[in-house]
Amino acid sequence: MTLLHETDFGTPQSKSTDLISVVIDGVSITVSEGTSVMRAATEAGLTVPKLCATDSLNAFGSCRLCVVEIDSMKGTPASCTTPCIEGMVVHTQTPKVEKIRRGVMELYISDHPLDCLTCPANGDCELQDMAGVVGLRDVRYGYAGENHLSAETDDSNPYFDFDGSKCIVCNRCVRACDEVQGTFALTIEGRGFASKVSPGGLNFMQSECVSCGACVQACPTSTLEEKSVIQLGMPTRTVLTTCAYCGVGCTFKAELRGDQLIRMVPAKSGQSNEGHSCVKGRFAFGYASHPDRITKPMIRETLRDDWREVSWDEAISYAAARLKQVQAKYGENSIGGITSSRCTNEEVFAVQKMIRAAFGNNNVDTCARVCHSPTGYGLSQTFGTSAGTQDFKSVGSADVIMLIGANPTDAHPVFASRMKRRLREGAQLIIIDPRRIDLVKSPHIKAANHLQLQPGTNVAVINAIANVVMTEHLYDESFVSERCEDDSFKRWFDFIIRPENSPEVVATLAGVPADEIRSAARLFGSAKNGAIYYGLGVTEHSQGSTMVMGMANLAMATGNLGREGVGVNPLRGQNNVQGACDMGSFPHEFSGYRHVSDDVVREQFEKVWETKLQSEPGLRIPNMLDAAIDGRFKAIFIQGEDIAQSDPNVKHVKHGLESMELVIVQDLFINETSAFAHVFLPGTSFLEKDGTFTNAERRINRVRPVMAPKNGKQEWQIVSELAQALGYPMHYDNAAQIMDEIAELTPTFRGVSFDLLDRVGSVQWPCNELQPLGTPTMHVDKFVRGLGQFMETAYVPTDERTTRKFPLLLTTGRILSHYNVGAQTRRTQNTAWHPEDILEIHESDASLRGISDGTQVNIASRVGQTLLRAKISNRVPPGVVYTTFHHPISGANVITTDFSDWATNCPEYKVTAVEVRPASENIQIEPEEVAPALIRMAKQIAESIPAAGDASRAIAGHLQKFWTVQMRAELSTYVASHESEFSAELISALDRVH
Amino acid sequence: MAGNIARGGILELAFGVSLRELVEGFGAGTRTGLPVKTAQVGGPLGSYLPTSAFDVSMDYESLLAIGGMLGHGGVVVFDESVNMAKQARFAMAFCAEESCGKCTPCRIGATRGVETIDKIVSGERRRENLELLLDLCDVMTDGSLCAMGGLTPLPVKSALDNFPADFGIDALVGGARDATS
Repeated sequence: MTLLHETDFGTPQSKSTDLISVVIDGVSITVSEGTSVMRAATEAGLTVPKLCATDSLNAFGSCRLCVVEIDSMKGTPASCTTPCIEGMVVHTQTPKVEKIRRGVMELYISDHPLDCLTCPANGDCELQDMAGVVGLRDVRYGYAGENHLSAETDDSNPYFDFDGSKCIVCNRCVRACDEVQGTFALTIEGRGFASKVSPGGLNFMQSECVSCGACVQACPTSTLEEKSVIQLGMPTRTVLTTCAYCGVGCTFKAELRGDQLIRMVPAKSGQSNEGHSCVKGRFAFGYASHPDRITKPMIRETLRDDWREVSWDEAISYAAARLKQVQAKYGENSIGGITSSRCTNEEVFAVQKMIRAAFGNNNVDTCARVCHSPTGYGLSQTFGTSAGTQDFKSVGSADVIMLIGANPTDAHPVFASRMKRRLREGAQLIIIDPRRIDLVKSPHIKAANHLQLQPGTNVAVINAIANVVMTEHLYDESFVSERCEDDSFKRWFDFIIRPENSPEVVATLAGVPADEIRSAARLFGSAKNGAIYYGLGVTEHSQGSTMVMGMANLAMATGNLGREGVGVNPLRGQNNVQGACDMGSFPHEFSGYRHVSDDVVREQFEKVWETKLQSEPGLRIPNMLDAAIDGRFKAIFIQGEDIAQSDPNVKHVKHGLESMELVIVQDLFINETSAFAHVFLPGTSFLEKDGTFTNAERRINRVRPVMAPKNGKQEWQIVSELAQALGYPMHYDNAAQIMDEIAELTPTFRGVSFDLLDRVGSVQWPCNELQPLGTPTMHVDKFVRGLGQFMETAYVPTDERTTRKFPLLLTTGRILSHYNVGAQTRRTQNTAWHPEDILEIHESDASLRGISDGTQVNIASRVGQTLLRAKISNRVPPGVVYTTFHHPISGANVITTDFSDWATNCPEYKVTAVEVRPASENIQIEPEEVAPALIRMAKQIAESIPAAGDASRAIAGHLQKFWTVQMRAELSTYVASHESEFSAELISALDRVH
Repeated sequence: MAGNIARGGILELAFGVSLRELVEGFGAGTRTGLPVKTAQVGGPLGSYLPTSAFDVSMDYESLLAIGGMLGHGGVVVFDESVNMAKQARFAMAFCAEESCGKCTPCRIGATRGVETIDKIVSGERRRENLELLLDLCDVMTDGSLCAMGGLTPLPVKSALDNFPADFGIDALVGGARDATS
């Protein structure tokens, strides 16, 4: 294993499909039209010296090292800026150009420190390489002339230094910031000899810089250098792996020196990131070796006892014995578990297998429950599969981008950079978000429409947009008639053109001017390629699933599916949330989204797993917690998820955990949830894992171990051993065997193996006999379900409303430097950017309450209260406040309620009625009478399932598919005594179920 | 027509008039009354032409043929008191002042050009520095991104070619390298 060097072709690949032939140094080569002479030479295996050119950036032509001679062309053109022309004859090594190159290098070195031997970039410096390549032997100018050797080093960024004395002003950093990242934070200050790179303002930390690392990567010298390289030295070997932060799933070169990780460098070969990164993936990996890591298993009898470190054998047999005790006492279904979207597909598959096969029930759920479960439901209903339709690259062909409830520059930065590049090329942007996110207006980007709606009114607004598209005949009739169900379209058409869905009616309730909605609808409706991208601002609502179907309807109606540049695209939060869902983590589904009641599918699993499996769905996370409080659910296995911080209404979550007799936590750190645990099984960080993650574009990427597991075991090994201890034979020699089992049992994964991934890099599922190299774009000729199904999407407002007592709406989001509950990023120097969660509040709401910038405030909802520091901000409209939940101390989820999506139970994080007061003033919370969650949800289902057609049958189907027998029975009992509260359809549905 | 000239100003004439006619006829010689030493034709990046070349016809081709440049047509006249090493230095300094800084030959080259001419004039390793200056002029001419750096060598080299004594050297033998000190 050595350091992996990826070839730098000097200039970007041409997109043209027309081919031309040139002769370079006697070598004939055929390239696509628009290819630079430099790139053609590199493709032909020749090298032209260069310093200012690199293939992630457009040609610039400033260093003049790459000059060549071309027959029939005057002078010595730069090969980077000269495109190939058919029949061109190029000479890259002539006395004339060699003399120029030496002369240029002589100039460079006359203004450069002569400290190569002690320079951190020694051996990894293009300037040093080029001095050798051009044969520089002497710097006749001497070193006493004017120079920049005393330029100061800017060490303000926690991860990299800027040493101005080593800068050759090639502009690569500035261009990377502009072209690759799209932040435009860097510039060249001054001109002529005085030109220097400047972040503007005082220093890098005080500038607009987002610390994505693109400039550091682009720098050909040691001017911009990782502090870790300066301190620890150059890495010597590479392990290619996948970032474990967001759902973009960037491919990184983990560069090590011995077994010490020196730096993470984004790989050009990574198809989701193509050589780009963000501050988290690039720099925030230090948590993996943080002293807080728990590396030894621990147990305790009761929560009052201290943790006791034990051997793996003791921990596993202890956990198994107690699980068996609980099942013996309370029944087979009294235990369950949660899989983590932070873990690999193989680890997740192992946990759900352990639950289904060794626990003997279907009480398995995943943290995707609280983020993208409505995506699964909504896209499955309309298109037939639970996944986004495109690859990330597709955004490069979009003409109008509709971004809903997502803030990609903070939460999916590497994808945001792709999107921004397309927007700078002229694509139009529509943003639907209650908050003015950066993309509304940032350098070289301005949204055509920002529909700044009231939190909770997404469905009304998407319906209004579709209403305009249909009533103004902007829809794609041929797509609808050829690709979609006729009757569902007609029903939907009749529904959507109703006056209640018109922009004029929706305007009042959503707080968005009707004109603005119409203008956005016309823009999207007339786009050649219209693409929808969305995030948790869509899913985390009472109507999350309805909204996903609303967007799917719009995409179908406008014919924006089945090719590049279009689609309905979830921006997944966690690295493996797609994968965790695919792997059968839901209580009602096996891997590949097949219902547990499907006898054919279940029998396949029973055969391979050699055990009997339950055919009724198990409990979802909220159901588990409710059942725990009711005394029916007594033990839980939690894989890498801190539900006591991340899940809504934390008080309720903690009450549920407290009510259990056994909580087993598998995690890296002691956290809020482990406070309720009796067994702590130390887990592995992504740097230790061996397996795969599946990103938001369905791309299965390899995660390769960079270091040995600090806990001594892979997580799937621990899970297998626990299953064994429970009496179920479960054994794998390696993670590849687990993937082989997944492939055997899952049609969409049939062709996937570690071997394939190691050969081709990555594939997007479905990957099988029909698509052996995967599927970049879904639904090309037909939908997975055959014809697309339009779903009526009536807007049912949430019960969470502002009152006189709680007059503001709280909505939550993310910040660039932190990830989710911050368990990782808080243990890195990313805290330099965001040491605490902040409450954004509009000036008018603030002044009314005597709150100013920096005031410590008390924020309360009907379920809890907490303290935050306020920031006066016009990003939020009056009446709306906003915060993040990265820090446990502020505990934003103390306030959020347990209201949730009607179809999937995805919590309504994005809408909570609150009051905010200066911390000195107390807010009285009196517990309000709220109907039991189960009953509320049943009513939501009855309201949200369209009345047209056979509503009772649809409701019955939903209850059978997603609810447990116990839950249905409880509902029936309640309904029997409160019949007047329920609709006739629901009552008849319950009859049908029984 | 500007510089040290008795009658400066703007003239509109057809191509083909000789430089001598312009300087001595229309311009009536120097303002100081001292003999003319040289005229820079075409702008600050134009060549310094010796009086022996003043019969050249003012058009593109003829000027190009003697290493000059018509440029914007400006003619700046100097009398014999001028030191052409200073003028060559001025050309490099002008380039350093005006350089945008994008390409290396111009950004660093112009500054090094000033320094190297200073060394030549002060007699420091004169032969080597002269060779270096000529090499630098080649790099700037062939390597610069735009005409700013690309043409700066014109005034420098024409000053050297035509007035080597001002640099403390006898002549540039063979038109280039083998200068004597």
